Amino acid sequence: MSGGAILGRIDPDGALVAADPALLRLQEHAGGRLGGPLMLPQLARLAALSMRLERDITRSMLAADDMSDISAIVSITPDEQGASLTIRDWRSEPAPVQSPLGDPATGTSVEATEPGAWRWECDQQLRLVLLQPTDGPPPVAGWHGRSVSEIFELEPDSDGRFALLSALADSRSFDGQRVRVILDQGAEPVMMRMDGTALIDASGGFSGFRGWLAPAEAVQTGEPAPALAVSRTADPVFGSLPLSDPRFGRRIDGALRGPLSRIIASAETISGQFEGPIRADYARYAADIAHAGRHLLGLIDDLADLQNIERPGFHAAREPVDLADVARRAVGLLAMKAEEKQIRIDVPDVDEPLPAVGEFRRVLQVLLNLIGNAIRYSPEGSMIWIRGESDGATAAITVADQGQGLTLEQQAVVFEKFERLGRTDTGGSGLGLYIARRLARAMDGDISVDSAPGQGARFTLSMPVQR
Amino acid sequence: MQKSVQLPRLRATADQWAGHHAALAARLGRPDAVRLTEEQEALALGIVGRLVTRMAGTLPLATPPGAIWAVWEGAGVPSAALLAPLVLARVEEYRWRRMVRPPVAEPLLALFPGADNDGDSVPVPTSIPAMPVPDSAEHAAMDVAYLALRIADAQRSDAFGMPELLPSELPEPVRRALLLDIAAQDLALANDPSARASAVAAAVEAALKNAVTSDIDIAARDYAVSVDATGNAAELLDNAVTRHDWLGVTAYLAAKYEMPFSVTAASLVGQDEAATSALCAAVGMPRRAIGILLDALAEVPARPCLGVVAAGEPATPGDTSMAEEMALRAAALRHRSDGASA
Repeated sequence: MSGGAILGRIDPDGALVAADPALLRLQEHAGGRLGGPLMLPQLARLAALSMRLERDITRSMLAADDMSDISAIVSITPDEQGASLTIRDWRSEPAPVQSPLGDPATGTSVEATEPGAWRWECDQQLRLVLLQPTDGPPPVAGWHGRSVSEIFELEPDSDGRFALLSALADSRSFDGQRVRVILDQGAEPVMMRMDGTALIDASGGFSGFRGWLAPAEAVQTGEPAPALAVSRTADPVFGSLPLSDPRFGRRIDGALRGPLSRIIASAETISGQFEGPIRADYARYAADIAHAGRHLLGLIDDLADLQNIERPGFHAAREPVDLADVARRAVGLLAMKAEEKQIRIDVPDVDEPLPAVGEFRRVLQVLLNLIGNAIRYSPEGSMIWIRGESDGATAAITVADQGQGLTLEQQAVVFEKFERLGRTDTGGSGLGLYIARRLARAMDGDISVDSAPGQGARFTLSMPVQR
Repeated sequence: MQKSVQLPRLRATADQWAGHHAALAARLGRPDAVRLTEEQEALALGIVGRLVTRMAGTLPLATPPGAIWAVWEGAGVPSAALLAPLVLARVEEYRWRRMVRPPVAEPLLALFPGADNDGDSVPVPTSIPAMPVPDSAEHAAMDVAYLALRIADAQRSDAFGMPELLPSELPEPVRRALLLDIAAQDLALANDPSARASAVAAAVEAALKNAVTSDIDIAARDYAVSVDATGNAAELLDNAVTRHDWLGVTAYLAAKYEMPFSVTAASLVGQDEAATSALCAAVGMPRRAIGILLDALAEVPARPCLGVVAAGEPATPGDTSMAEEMALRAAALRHRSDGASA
């Protein structure tokens, strides 16, 4: 489990009064409940400390649920009615047998918390060993040991494929299999969607699937089934999630990234003529396809970041960072791109530390953007300077290039969303600087620009210094 | 000119720290004392909560099933000492069994020979493929017995896959004590306990009259019989251990030693290597398999040495009548809640 922030609230007595599903699940696994005392000892101690001191606290946290140990970064903001909890970077040591709660890595589509969801499990011969709803009694009588196909009528997708059967063929996880099931004798069948994680034993043998079923949409009648009402616009991949739901973003991300990566890899194979010589213009077309694919992949990264940082309550961690060190690392990561254009980059010496407070990976992301832009928009054979300075309260690192520079009008809009200053090439999404500045501000820092046409640009990241 | 400043007085914090002082004193007094990990405590609490709620749901109580646990999670579980060994056994069984280590390599494509991992070249199946038929009646029986074992095991988790201790897995005295405590707590919470006492007592008595055998223990016995019937138990055990099929291995050992399934699993986790080796060797497990099993057990973090309650061990005196005993428990619970609120 990782990605967006998990939110919660406690009241002045330390009772958990609101929680996102993941936090609530952890609370319940620890024997607690919503409205009861926070049962995660470390988190409860931090929350009590934060409320007593009446100041924000951000710390790493270790907890355990039934499935695994969990590490996360928790930020606690006290107020008069208690405190808000924001948990980020939630990392769960993956259970060796994949979690039955759905596995983001495999793109399983059914959320355990969806109303009317059923847990299911079958053996390697697709005989059911479990069919259990999250609420209420078992939905179908006499399922024990019967084949999945006896209980559920599998529906092919638009290509005529059955996700379950394809997954069975090569022992992998699947999602988006639509099935019909008759719950009561004589009643209309209801449509559900099914996902499954392949159960692989220690010798590599396939021993079945475990997953979730969730209501999809009513069948034939045109009316939603009473207990299984969902939007009729439900899509097999994206379900009925609204655009604003973070899961929608994650699913789009998962759905696009794989195909795009394959397109890029195939196009690069063709343009590189690894399988033998082809006409030069065809190789160029393939290179264009690969380039466009990489651009789209970058856009997906940016959109994922954008959705993350625009969520209410987004905060970055506050930890000691050396801006000069981060800048050197960023330059190291971009060295190939700079070399392609014979650009030299002058970085701060290793004996010139520039201490500040921020989240390391976010600072790195910001500097990768600033230095990457400088490389992209600098002429071949030019020079980029990176300089640091500190006044005791603020540390600043400046990236200066010898590019075309920006007019005052351009400087006024350069940090706006999707702003590309009139460029129409496929070099960027217009989101990079917007995201970079949002990140800097989330760390109580900022980014400023100083430039003039024909004189290059100086972008400065300033960050608070630990007192 | 110096100005006199009235400083706030430092407050004594002995009361606030009393619990911590007691915990530290116990720690310092017994540095070798066993302490559960946070994970073990969380799992144990979850298991007891689900057990209490499930059992409360079987009785005609005045309060909702969840209300009993809501009280006990704050005030403590009356039969804690009786439950602890069984709950810890389930915790340790769960922690061990989830530690299956699938190989890094992609699995073999056994069902569709010739298919590779490229989605485009996998033949598109349009129906459930025919599965290999067991090559003998004995193997067919074992296949059915193993399916029943998996079904029984799957019932021991809640809808989210979290471990449960089923009432049928409790030895009769423990089940009796817990049912009585639940009923007593319900009476302690009720406005007019005397009017309901006999009805609840009758329900508890009726629940206890039905002899219950755990599904998992029945399935384990059937599975062990079917394995032995193949005449090939050693090879099958070796195969099960290689696959980290701890369900099958534990079931076989439980049946052979006539121990409850969960207690058998916990014994494996809690015992030292020599004892486990002897236990496994005695049922014909090959040396190679024993080595793999010991390696896997060694990976379970914070393994305890358990003092396991044997099934059927008398846990509560049973001379008084059900109603009398429940009334005594209700009085004790009411006294406890009065003391807590005072």
